[in-house]
Amino acid sequence: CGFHLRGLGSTGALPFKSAQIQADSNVREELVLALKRQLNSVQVEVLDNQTAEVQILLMPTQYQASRTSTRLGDATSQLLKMTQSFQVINLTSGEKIISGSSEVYRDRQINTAVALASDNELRTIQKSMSEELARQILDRVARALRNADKVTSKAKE
Amino acid sequence: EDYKTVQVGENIHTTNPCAPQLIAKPQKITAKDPKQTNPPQHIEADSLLQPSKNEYLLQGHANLNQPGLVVLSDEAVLNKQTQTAVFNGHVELHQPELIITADNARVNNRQETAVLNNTRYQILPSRTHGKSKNIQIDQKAQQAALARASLTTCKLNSDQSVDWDLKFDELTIDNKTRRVVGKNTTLYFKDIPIFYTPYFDYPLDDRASGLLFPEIGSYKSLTQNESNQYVKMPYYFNIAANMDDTLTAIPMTQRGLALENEFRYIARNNDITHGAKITLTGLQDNLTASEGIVSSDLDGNLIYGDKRSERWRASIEANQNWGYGFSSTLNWDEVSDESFFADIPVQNNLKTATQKQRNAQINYKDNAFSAYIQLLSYLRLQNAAINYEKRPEIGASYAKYLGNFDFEIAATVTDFVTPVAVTNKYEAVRFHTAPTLSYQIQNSYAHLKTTLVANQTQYNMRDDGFNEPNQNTITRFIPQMAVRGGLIFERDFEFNKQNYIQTLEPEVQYLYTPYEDQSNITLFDTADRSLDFSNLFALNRFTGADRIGDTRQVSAALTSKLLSPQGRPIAEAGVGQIAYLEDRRVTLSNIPETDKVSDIFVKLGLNFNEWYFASTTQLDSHDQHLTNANTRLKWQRNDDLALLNHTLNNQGTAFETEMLSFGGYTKINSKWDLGIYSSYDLREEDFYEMQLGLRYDSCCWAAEFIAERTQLENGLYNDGIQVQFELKGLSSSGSKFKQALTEKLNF
Amino acid sequence: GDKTPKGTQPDESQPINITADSLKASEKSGKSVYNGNVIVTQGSLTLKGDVIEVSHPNGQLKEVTASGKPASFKRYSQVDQAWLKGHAQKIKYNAAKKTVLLIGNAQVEQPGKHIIKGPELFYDIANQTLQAQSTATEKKRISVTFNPAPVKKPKTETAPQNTQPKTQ
Repeated sequence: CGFHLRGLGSTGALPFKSAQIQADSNVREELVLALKRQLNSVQVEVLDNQTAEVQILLMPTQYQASRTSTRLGDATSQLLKMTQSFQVINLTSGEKIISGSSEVYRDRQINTAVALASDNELRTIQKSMSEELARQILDRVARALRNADKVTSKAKE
Repeated sequence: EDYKTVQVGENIHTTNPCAPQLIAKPQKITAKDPKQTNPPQHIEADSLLQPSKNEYLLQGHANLNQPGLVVLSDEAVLNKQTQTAVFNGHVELHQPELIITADNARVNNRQETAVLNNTRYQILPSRTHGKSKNIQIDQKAQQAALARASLTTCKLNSDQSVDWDLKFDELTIDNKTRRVVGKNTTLYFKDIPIFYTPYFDYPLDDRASGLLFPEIGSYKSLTQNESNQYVKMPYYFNIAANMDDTLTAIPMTQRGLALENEFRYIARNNDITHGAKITLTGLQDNLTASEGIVSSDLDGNLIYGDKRSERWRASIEANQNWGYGFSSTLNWDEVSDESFFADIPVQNNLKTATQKQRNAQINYKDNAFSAYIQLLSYLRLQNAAINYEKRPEIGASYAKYLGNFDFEIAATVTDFVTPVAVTNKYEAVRFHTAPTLSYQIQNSYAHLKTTLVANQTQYNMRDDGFNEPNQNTITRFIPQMAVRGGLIFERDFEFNKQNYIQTLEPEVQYLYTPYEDQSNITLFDTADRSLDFSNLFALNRFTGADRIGDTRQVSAALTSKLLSPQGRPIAEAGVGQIAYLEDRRVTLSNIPETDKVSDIFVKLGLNFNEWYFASTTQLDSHDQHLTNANTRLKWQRNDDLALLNHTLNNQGTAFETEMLSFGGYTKINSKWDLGIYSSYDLREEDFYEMQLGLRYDSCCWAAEFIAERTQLENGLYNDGIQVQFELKGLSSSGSKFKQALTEKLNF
Repeated sequence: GDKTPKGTQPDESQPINITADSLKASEKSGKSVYNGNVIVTQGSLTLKGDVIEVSHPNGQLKEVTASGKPASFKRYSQVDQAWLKGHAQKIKYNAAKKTVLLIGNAQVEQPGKHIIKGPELFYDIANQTLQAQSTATEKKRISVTFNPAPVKKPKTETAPQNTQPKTQ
């Protein structure tokens, strides 16, 4: 049915070996950590200075919690939305690889009788949302580079 | 805004159709050169007479032009010795930021002052305009003082009237502070006086909002059968660039006058940045002074508490960044009595709330290590549940990754205290840590991750003599091991002449957590997880640390995503289930679970053009009937928006709840916006929340009408109607309507 | 440049002398016409022009009409300790009424550097007042420029060269 393993043949998941993350204080901590960890797990070294091949620029993370239903006065369910805009630049050639924004949604129920449990769950949800955003960003970068390679390789033929 | 062509009274062709017409044709004003102390004056006219040596009488379209000022008139008499000029007939005085038309005017060049009578004036660039008996301009002090003046930002209607205007005994336009300050001000709306204020302070630029506009509302709180009327009259003071204050007077029927003061500042001294918003509200409540504070129990009968008249609330939201990795936040509220927010219409979202979380926290962060100390508590309002509080919690975490290894340790010490001593809610100090070591290999099409967790917990139960915990110290050590792997298959996929990428992502996880009896541990911060597809791969089926679910299970999920060529997710569908290899004995109800397989989890999502759809459902493993579901559908096209949200919990059990919320927001035409939101309980078959909002937006003013009805625990309804006025260009109270509604619909 | 004259008597009582390239005088009609670089001086009053017509019936100076491109005149006002200067296409000085009429793109600079321009300016020397309006032939706006007196003492002007008229 036409399915093949993604990106078979290219060695690592990302075709660059070092990256630098640029994020100010309004970017969510967990997201920067998750990005570093995921880069590390695909053998990409995270550097602090400009010598890295690729720079990942993160704009302030937007986080919204909208109350979707209330019951007996208290909010009982909430929709959480986290949006991260990013720009990835190839530092060696200076051109922009990709710029875009990724969004993640999560629903949560709040139990006012066990408020601490809901608060605890909120933090674990926020952490996993950050990790999911980091995964989406790296996937988008990998895909953009692969598309670029496809184009160059086609041009070579 | 550029002035294309303009004629007094005729319509103008500027970009903003709402901008008031210009009261006079703008003149080219030569810029003022600060170095030139005494610039030359240049006058033109049809003819000139010199009645005396120092006096010049210019007649016929006289036109005085000097840096920073142009004055036109039928006739001008200048005295070069005293450097004064008198203008008569169709006088127009033009300054870069002010135009005045008058019957006559006197300009003194040496003292740089001017006096004009019977005037119409217009402030630029906002084009706010009005009339005034006379205007005294002091150029040096950059001030204009207007006597018996009017001010409006409205366009002239065809009959030369304006929708609203403010009338002052005195009005000063101060160009240095960019503010307008008025005394004895009355607001006329279509010539009907509707509002008076002795002091009026309005900024010429937009940042500060001067007179926030009064809100009129009616408000029936839980314990009353008819509603109170109230007016909120806010006064805004722009103290400094980084500091401002809003004082709001809230006269209420039956209760009396409440005063609310909100002070905001942000500051930076050397590298410490800090800011705060402090809100204080207080009143002498005549109603509770006579009747006592009323609250209601869960079945809806009213309880009359102690009679007291002072009622207050204090709230602070502050944050500080001390540098060197240290930062702190303080979000705290105190209130005089639990019914304060239900009775006094100051904080809408707490009106029917039973509690509000508050905390104070200090954080330290160094790139791999971070620590915090936090005091977390709940402001208890009506019928608040008794919740544990963290007094305090100290936490630290350290993360290190090396190659494919990833080590993370987080530890917390928490003193769980209940605000009110109560049986069966033991208090304790809990120490909990869960060092995690994981090894992950990943490439473009596969990932495999092994995780080891060593949960170590110790409880020192507090024997407070009120209730007898069965053990004073409980220690618990539970290791966990999980192996999770997945593959990613891809293919190109064409759908109505558009090519996409479709992925197929199988994922499997084996999780082993040994059993340890935890039934004697109190549930401090543990509960079931909210319904979510990712729960399939969670290492613990409970949130918090008081229960670590024993299990030997294999969870499997198959997800397929549709991506745009650039990788943006457009649609996704996933199905997953857990196969249990042994029974689970750790449960919240202490009754073991013996099913061999979990419910089936299904996830669906679509994010394409104007449509957004997301749903997570849990189907019973035996007969696939729905047990839990959360579905959300949204349609949006520029301003118009519609939302549907359906949640179903514990179907087929005694605790079944099913809620349907729907909302819509539309711009009916250029003037009218409509928004509705309501939540319907499908089991109780009643609406427990309804909100209707209407906004009329004409050029220089807008009115919002919000009607709200929320059902409370005891079946009583709390109604509220708010009418919000906004004089555009004068007050920017921000459209409350849009804020209130979009908070609900805003994803 | 104009140096401050030393004499203190009023101009009117001072002798008039006229220099020009050529002269056509006729005692009978009491009118003489001077042509080319004509300069008329009477005390501090100086009138210059290409053609100057002087009417002096029975030896009494009545009117001087100068025309030029432009004709110019200047006079030192003892009261203001400053020069009054002006130029126009045609300047008529009426000695009896002590008035100066400037016609055609006229300009007068009053003490304190106030400059008045217009099609026709009528200056009354005794009262030091001025009138200005358009004429039938020249429709233009009157323009007045006030240069407020600078606070410090005005600089004196540079000394004028002493130019001897070519012919006499």
